[in-house]
Amino acid sequence: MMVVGSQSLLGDVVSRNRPQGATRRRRWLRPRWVEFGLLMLGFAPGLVGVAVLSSVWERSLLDQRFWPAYGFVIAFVACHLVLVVAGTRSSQLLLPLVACLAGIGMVLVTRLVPALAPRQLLWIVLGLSVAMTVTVGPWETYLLARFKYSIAAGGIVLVALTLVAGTDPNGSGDRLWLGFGAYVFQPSELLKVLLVVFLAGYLVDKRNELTQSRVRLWVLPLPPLAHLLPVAAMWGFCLLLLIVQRDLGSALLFYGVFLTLLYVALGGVWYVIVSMGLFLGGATLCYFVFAHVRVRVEIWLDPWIDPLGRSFQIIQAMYSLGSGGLFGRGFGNGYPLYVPATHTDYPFVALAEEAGLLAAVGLLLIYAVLATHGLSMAIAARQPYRQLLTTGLVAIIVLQVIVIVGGNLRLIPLTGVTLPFVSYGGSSLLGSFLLVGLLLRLSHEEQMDQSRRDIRRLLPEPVVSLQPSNLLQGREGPGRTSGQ
Amino acid sequence: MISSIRKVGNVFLAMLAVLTALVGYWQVVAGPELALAPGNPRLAQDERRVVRGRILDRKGRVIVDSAPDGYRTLHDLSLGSVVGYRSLRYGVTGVERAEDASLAGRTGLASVANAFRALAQVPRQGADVYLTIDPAVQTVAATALGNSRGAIVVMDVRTGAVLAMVSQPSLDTRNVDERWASLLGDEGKPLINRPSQGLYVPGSTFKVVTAAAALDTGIMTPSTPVTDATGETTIDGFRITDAEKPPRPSFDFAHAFAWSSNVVFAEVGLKLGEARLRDYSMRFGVGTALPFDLDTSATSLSRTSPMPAPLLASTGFGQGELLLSPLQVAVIGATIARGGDVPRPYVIREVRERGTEVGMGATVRRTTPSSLGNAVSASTAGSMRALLGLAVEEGFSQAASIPGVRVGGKTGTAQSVPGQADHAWFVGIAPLDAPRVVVVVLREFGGWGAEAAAPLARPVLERALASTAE
Repeated sequence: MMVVGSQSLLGDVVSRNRPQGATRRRRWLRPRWVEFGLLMLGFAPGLVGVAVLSSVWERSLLDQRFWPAYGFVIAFVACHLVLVVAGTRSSQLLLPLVACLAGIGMVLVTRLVPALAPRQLLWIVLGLSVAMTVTVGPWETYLLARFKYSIAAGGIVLVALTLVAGTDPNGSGDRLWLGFGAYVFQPSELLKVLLVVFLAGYLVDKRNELTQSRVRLWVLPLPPLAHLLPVAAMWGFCLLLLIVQRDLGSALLFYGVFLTLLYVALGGVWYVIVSMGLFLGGATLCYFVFAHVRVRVEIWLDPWIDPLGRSFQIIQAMYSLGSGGLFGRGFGNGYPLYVPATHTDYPFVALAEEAGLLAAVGLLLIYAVLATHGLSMAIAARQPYRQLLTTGLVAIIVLQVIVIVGGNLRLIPLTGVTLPFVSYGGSSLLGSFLLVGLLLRLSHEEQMDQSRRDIRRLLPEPVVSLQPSNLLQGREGPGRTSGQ
Repeated sequence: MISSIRKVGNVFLAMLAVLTALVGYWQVVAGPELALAPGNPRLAQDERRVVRGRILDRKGRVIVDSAPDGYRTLHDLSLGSVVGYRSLRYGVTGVERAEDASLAGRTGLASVANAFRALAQVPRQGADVYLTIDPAVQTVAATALGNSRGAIVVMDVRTGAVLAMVSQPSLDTRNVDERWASLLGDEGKPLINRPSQGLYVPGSTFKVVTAAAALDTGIMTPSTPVTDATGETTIDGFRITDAEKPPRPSFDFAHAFAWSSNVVFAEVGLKLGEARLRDYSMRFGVGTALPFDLDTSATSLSRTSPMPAPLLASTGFGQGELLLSPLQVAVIGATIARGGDVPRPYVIREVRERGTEVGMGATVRRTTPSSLGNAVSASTAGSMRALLGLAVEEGFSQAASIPGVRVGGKTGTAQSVPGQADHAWFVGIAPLDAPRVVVVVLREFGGWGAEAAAPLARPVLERALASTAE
């Protein structure tokens, strides 16, 4: 098992840029050579894909079809330069990892639906702009904790809007989108980030109240009822998603992220078990009460009951997977388009068919590195709020991968969740890049604090810090003692 | 909190590991089966990237090849059910199925060359399959049978190679998909390859097995005196009659065979008993599906066991619950011709790379003739050949005789469905002293074996002897 900790290799990358001296405060133009080198490496899979497509399609490398892929490279190099110019101290591993994933996604969209590649690029550029704004903008993440209830209110408004005015642009039968003229947006992609931001703030705030219990229910310490409310509200909210919105994927994802944060903040495995039981109970109830849930589960358990009808997509995906083998049928040489909606629902299967098991495992490995690196960032953080927020953001990515790939591989029923950074889809890319922006910002702030602490250590007398992020720690005082 | 985050990380990595194992399962363990599943649309796409090999006869005449648009074209209608059809919807049969991998270029030397073709985006080239079919014999056999429903099998007894195989009504393998409903509904059942898949009551042709068993066990010799004065007898209240009363009331066992006395063979069957009759039938291959390149139906001596006396007696002369295929009867004849050794029948002679000219490509695989074991002793087989010769010279099989060549044979007239005409059979071997070929003729509801089947065998035998003399 890989070590998730600050001593690991990945953790070292985070804390690389130690300040040079006490007099230096903030430096513009801080070179990020590690990031630059890794970024070039991260482009490799996508660019190799372009080269293969060019030979299979017998089109020049300068063909119009490949322009979006080159635009993609330029966009990421530009982001790297923004980070250099702004003197950011954030992790140098994050951007290359995301570039590698998004590059694979870019070339997959180019191969599957060439006409959509320019739009994919547009969304990536927009997403990167959001991420860069969040990373280098003049703000601090403690504001997110301060305004957590406003953020929660915003999320509720978003859900309410979807319930009332939701549209169904692609005829899937579920009204999960909000329309803005010609563009549609899937609020759940933004909602998942808002959820983590709120929960991280709330749970850090209420940790003591939630863990101090007077009442015991058999072995289970029962927290004061008022504080149980958010748990119950979350449970109800996820079931609502499942029933009204028919969005099994988002319900699973939200609840999974919620459980992760609950466990990390409160430490009790009992909460997790009970909450999981609650969700399974609710889901079982839905199975018996709602026909559409039942259909999903039945075609998942036995797709051969209706291979040309409801389970057509599942069966075709199995054929696609099975035809790939160890090395794949060659990029551009397979038939992943027999699977309906490959570019949104089954990009993982398309990759597995054409590039084989090796590429599929490689992709999962990149997500594993991202998870390990993200969580080691969380561990290295000195404040509970940052620890929790980072963990939650990483959990969104990993759980989303598990829900969609698990659905692709028939581990769980198939859901409409996208593969982060790889699937085609504007809202999904925007949401994921917003998340990357927050992670970059968090690691930048952490490094800044770190250097401030180092400066303090060199001074003769302790200085009372007026940094708002230190005030946030409240009664527990400064330092890492609050970590456990 | 930090230790909790570590645990969360471990859980995440464990879940990703589960996904890794699962994708490995789908792609590598379950992969090959899914890749070749009939519903996988990639199969049809792959077909278009292959120039499928041809099927040719032993003289290099093309029986089936692919048109430029990929359609398979059958050039000899009488071989339709042998080469089989190939449909993405209804499956693959016959030689097309038996040699699918070779024809599609997936095995042998072809697969190496085809790996490079795939890289260069050039269609794969399948290997050619050469059959043991002799075009002249096949044509004569198909002409002899004409439009009558039935089957003709000609085999080289020295090897087991099938020289001709006719199934009538024949199967046109072109555009099977479009004609599927009518093919399936056709009461002539063209989808069945009668020689290997058709099951019929063998009638008196089975007396070859009964007589061989009786001689081999020593309960009879060719000169053992027997009587059949009335042409009928009763066993446990079950009446048994001869198809034709023998010209004399008492004679020897050899003439009982030549004149096809049911009364005598009923007695022989009872004398042999069920165990020995089953044992000898099994040695000839009866009771199993013959090993063959094409699909064969499992033949059967009797469903009932133990067999009551009337059933045992009728089985002795080829009725009862017996069900044999024409190919099985040909193997029985060939076994006698080979001195008791049972040949493994085969129709695929060799697989060759496609060369610039017919027969020029390198041989990928060539079938070696083989034996399925020993049925009776060489002396029994020798006596049986004499009996078969006597049946042609003095018995009912005279219509099959050829001037200048000693032919051995046995007719059969098997009761079919009540109210319908009998199935007409003939099995013949020639030349009797050093047999080269066996011919089996079956005409469904054809009537008398001596009149409906034996005369058809004569031109086929003549042609087969000429072909094998070369």
